[in-house]
Amino acid sequence: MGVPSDASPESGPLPEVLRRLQEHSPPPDPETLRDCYPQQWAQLAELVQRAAGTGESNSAIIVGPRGVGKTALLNCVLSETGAGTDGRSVLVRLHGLLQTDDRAAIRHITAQLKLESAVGDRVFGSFAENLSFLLKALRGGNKEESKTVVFVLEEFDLFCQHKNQTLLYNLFDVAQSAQAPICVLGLTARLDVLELMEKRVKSRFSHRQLYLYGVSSVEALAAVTRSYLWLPPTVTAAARWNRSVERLLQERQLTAALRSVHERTRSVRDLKLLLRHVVLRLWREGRSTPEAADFTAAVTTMSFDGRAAMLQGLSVLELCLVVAMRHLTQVYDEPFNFEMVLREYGKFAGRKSTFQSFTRPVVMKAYENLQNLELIRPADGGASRGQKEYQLFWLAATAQEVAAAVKRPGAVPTEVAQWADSALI
Amino acid sequence: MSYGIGCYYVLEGAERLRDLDEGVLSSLLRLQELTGRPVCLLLTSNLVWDKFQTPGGLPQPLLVHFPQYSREALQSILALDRPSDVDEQFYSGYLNLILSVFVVPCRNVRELRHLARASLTHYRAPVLSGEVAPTDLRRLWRHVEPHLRAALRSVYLREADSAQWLRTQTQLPAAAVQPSSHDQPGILDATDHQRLNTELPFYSKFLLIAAYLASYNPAKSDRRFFVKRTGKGAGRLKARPPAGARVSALLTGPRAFPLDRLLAIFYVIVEDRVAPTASIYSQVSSLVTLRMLTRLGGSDNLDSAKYKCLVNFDTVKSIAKTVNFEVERYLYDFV
Repeated sequence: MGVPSDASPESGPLPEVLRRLQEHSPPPDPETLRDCYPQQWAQLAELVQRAAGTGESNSAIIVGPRGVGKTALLNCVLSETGAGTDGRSVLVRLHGLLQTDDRAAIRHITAQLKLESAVGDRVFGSFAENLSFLLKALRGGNKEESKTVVFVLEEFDLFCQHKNQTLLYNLFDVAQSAQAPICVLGLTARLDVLELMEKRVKSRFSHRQLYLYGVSSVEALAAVTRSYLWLPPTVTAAARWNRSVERLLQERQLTAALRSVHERTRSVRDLKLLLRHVVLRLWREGRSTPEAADFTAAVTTMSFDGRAAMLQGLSVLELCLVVAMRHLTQVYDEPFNFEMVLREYGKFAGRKSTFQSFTRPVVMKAYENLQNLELIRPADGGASRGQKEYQLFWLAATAQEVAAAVKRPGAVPTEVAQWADSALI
Repeated sequence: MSYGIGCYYVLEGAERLRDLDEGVLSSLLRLQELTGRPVCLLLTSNLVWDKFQTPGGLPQPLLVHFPQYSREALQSILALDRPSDVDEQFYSGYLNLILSVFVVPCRNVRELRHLARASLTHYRAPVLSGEVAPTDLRRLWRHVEPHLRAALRSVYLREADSAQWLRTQTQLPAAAVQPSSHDQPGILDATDHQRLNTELPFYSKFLLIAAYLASYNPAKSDRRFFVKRTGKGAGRLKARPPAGARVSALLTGPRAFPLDRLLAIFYVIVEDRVAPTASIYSQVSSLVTLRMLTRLGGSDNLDSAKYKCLVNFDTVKSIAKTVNFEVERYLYDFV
């Protein structure tokens, strides 16, 4: 399997870097994040500080594509301003994927505010009543002593799908009418999140949106890469590693690799995946310092074309059927069924007497294999009416992919390759 | 090298997760973030990652592609199955033969192992009985070739399991297994239908042929085929659309027809006088039970019941041959 016998010790640079690149690890260097989004950082920090310090209720939504660092940014700001830990504020985290309806949400809020005992067995008439009870319970004797609650709602757009959007309505209502000091921060990947909110909810929202668009330039991408790869001196062999990383970041080949990544994606999550590929490659080959070639190889791995690989794994009969389907689609531009494909294949097999021809059931089995691999999709969206031989399908592969699969040396006998050439003009 | 992975979750057949609520796959792929713990999720599937994508976007996992085995790899894998009493060189020659025949329709290693196991006994038989030397590959190939073709038909298609197959191979003489369509290129294979032909009663066969004609001929052409020609109307054919524009009914599937039409065609093609007794109707329903016809429309509507013929052309042709009836002459697409 290629595992080197003298695998890196537990405390070497490679395991440490891999630890930092994991999904649940926080960003290693908040300063780099601040440099990427200085404006958004300042705005968020101000919001949270105003809420925690002066008890001013606020709401905001952070919008940005997947993986650009919304949660990371928010967490860094919250830890810097000390929200939730400074005694003046309490942090409540809700997630759209986990709290799928409002009842689960209010239970989760109760648990995070540690008010289960206060609630006890009480039954509340409405959601609003429940929420106001919880917020009142946080209030101290006089208004100045009441704690601010900072609500963080991840996957905010999923909360919009709850019935009547009760949770959102009540939260924004409390925020707007300043019944209690709360700060509502939503995070979402949908740019049209405002359209998802009902009118009454939208009117109570402050319409404050912060946009994060991702790493904006190749230089910024290089800076983020450096922040993930640079190791503190406490790690063994860190100095040597850091020197090689610095040298690497100056090389042109690396900049070219980073540029090709930047052209494809702006998200930091994809960059982390790339770095993980690089480190895993180093570990597999037993090397201790990265080189530019590793990055180029990682970029190639990440742009792996699964469909082409799938086509190359088909048997000769299945490839013949795919060529027949391509021919049919090209000539008729309509969905095909098994009978049509069989006839097309039969015409070819009949012409070439040297080529082995197969019976109908064997061809059917190959056809069903293509169906299982989803290389052919049903034309009517999967509602299977009538016999399976007559169900209509489309081919989910382009002419170039089919031609590339057929032209590989040794993939198919020459007659099939010639037939494919004549079919795929 | 471990970095504290606490727990590994392995999900096989992960493509079925797509049928669940969209949030399920999304949450599973974010398990590390949501729990804040080092857990590792492994998904296996036979579909490529593109097929999993949702409009909401899913976090990209590390993709590990297992390519299909090459011919050399298949040979070495199948060689592991060699029984202890078989010589290595002999077995590798056998595998070469098996692969050259079967790798064309199928590269699945499980199927190939099954086929290799099923055919080994027959391949070795002439060597064990002393007729053929183990190195005479040509004679061995000629001996085993019809069996390989038969194996492709039944073992590959799972019509017989390997134990049953081996039993039939040892009981029947070699000549009986020779398929009749051995020399014809093309797709026809008559031996599959021999079982069907011998089981239907005489009128049922004609009913089936009539049903096939009713399904695949448009209703307007009935007059041309099935009405006795008088002197006046003979020879006057209406203009037909050019052959290229007509999509053959054979390709688009059978059409539904009412019971009356079926019986009308039936009475025409059966030469003798047939009384419309109830047994004819019961034969129609037994054809439905045999899944050769299918009945459309509600089961309460006895008058306007519609039927469709489910049998394909090769079967009908072979049935028609047994009763000396030329089906092609009455088919719209063949005229």
